[in-house]
Amino acid sequence: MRLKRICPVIVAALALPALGACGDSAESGKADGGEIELSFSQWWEVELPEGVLRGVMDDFEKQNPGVKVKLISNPYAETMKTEIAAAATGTMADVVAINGESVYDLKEQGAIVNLSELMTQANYDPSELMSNDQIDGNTYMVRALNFTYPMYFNTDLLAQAGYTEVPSNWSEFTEAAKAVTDEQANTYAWSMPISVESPAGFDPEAWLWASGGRYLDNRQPAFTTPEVKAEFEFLLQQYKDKLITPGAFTQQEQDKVEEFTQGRNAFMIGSLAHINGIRTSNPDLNFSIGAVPAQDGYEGKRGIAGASWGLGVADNSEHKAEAWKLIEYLLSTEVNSKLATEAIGFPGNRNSTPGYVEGDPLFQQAFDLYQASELAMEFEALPKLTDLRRNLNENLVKMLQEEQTVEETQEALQTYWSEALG
Amino acid sequence: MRNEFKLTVAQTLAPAGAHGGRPPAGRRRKRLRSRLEPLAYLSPTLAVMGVLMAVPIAMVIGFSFLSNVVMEKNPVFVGFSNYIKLFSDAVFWESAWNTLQFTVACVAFHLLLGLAFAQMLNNRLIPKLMTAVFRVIYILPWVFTAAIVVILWRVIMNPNGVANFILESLSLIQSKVEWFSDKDIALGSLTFINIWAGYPFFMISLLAGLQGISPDLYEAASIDGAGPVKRFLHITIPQLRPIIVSMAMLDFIWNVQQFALVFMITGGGPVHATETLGTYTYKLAFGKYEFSMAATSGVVLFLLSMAVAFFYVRSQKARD
Repeated sequence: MRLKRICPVIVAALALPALGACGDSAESGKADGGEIELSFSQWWEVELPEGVLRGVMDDFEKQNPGVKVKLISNPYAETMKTEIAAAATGTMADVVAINGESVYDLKEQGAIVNLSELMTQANYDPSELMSNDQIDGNTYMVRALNFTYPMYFNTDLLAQAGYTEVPSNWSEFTEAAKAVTDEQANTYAWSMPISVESPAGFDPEAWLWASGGRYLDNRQPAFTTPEVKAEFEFLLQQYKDKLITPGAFTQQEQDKVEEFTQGRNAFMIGSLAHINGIRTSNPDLNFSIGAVPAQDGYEGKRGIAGASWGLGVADNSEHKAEAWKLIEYLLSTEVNSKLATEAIGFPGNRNSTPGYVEGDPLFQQAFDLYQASELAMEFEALPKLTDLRRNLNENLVKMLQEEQTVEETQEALQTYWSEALG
Repeated sequence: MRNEFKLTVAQTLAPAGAHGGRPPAGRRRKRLRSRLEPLAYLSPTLAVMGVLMAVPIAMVIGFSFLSNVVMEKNPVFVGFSNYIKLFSDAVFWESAWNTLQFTVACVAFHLLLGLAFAQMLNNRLIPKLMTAVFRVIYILPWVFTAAIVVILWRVIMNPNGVANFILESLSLIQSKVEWFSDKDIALGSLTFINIWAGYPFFMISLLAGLQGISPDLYEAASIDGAGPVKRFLHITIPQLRPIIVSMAMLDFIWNVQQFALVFMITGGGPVHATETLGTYTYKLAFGKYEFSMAATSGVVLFLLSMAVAFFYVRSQKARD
């Protein structure tokens, strides 16, 4: 009997240290010799050219004797999952790479600190930042880099169809799209991946944003506006006219890039980061970059879809001041330019200029477009954003399959998003 | 006779102290030691099982009775409300129905294909070298990891892919079939891929079973006038029955939990056409950040698997 009572105790005693070890992925503390060791969890090292981020950290360490940086590098999805789990157990890395998809939920978990306070303590001037997004009047994430999603044009396909100019409004686009689409030759105007697996890219959204419209008004859903209706009708017509590559409902971001790279799509809304990949995979492809066509008659400033690589400081960090120092370093003019150049993104510091714009007309075009456009990042810092974007894609699928009308789609989105954001 | 035997055993096992007085301390220590010794040998296994199985299972069950764990710093006990919420969700039932269809079809076809190929490989008319070559070819799908299987079939079943090209060339289809995006056939397409990826395991197990059946049985049946069909139905199937039952139950458990293949190909879409309990649970956790609801869904999945595991263990005991 006594043994029966003792057994669970023994098992529990054995389990506890192991459980403790499970969650503790990034313990901050003192490195050898009394130095401070900052941990920095991110997906950046995986996506940047080899050695770039470590090199930046080495330079930081040289400028800040006594501080070492330990990089915790994982692919994007893995980083996000790890951060949510670590936030629950209070074992987050001192500095965490975050973005608009995760910042709100981490803030709600109480896992990241108010950066406005750290900025004040460090006498940092936030006017240097390209944008200083706030939740309830406080900054929880600063953007180190921004990425834009312009439209790519396959100039060969357009020339074959008799077009020398790229379309600038929806009518021109539809006309050109019909001209380049040839079902027998497997050539379609564009791809619109709206898979629910891991919603990425901004293929349906970009059309609205380019025309000055938004899905949200003051962070509350505004799906029932005439602008959204017009956009949904435009998408529905594109689908009905079979101008979109088949398989859109389960197509993924990389499938879309592949379709464009192989010359089977004339247009693509995609991240600037794809330029080098397309050039490497298909050096013979001639393409240019421009703004996403806007609704006919729209003359205002074009909105361009954007995403970011942001930074935050963990609430459980014992070295918050040093953590901010690292963020400040990454946002400094020179370092931020270097990061932007290597990642093919746009700097978070308004005084930085990425090196790639010099000498490459395509990048220069992209940079000019970035400066001329308004960055549309209305989804940034929304709670449960992955779920909301899945809901948007699900409703678009129902609309395109004509299971629900455009108006019903607007209503369904308005209801679901209102409950989530309410 | 039976009573005498029982008496003998009872006398042999009766503790020394039963005849009055406590046994000496030395004997007590020896007896305690002999009782603890097996546990000491088992302790590493018990510890590993406790840490890797008992504790996580207990934690997940515990989470299912709390408000949103992980996201809330101080979750509170909510009783069965997570279960009520889960069972009121139409998407949960849609996922459960999809999972059932997917699982039953996969188990049935794994069995049929596995048996058919095993019979073929067990045929003495095929030269040994050919058998070895076929064995390697047939087992390949099972060797591939889920990621490879996904990449392969996404290329084949892409609307611009190989499958549609062949079907169009043979004039079997007029327009491109959207294998994964058409909600009427998406689950069927996934089931087909999973059948392809999983039948070799049945094939190998059944082949081993077939090779263990004595040729004398077939010979005797032939002499009695039994044809190939009767021999198959009255010798092969009954002889393979224990393996078939065990394999079917294990396969059921594995397929109910299938996640990687479904998520990487369709993500549960279009809309919820291929949503299974695995993808539904994942989305609750990492899309909605509702970890207690995900734990609740996980517990339901666990109980479903445990019910089948119970019958599996019973069938194993009956065999022994």
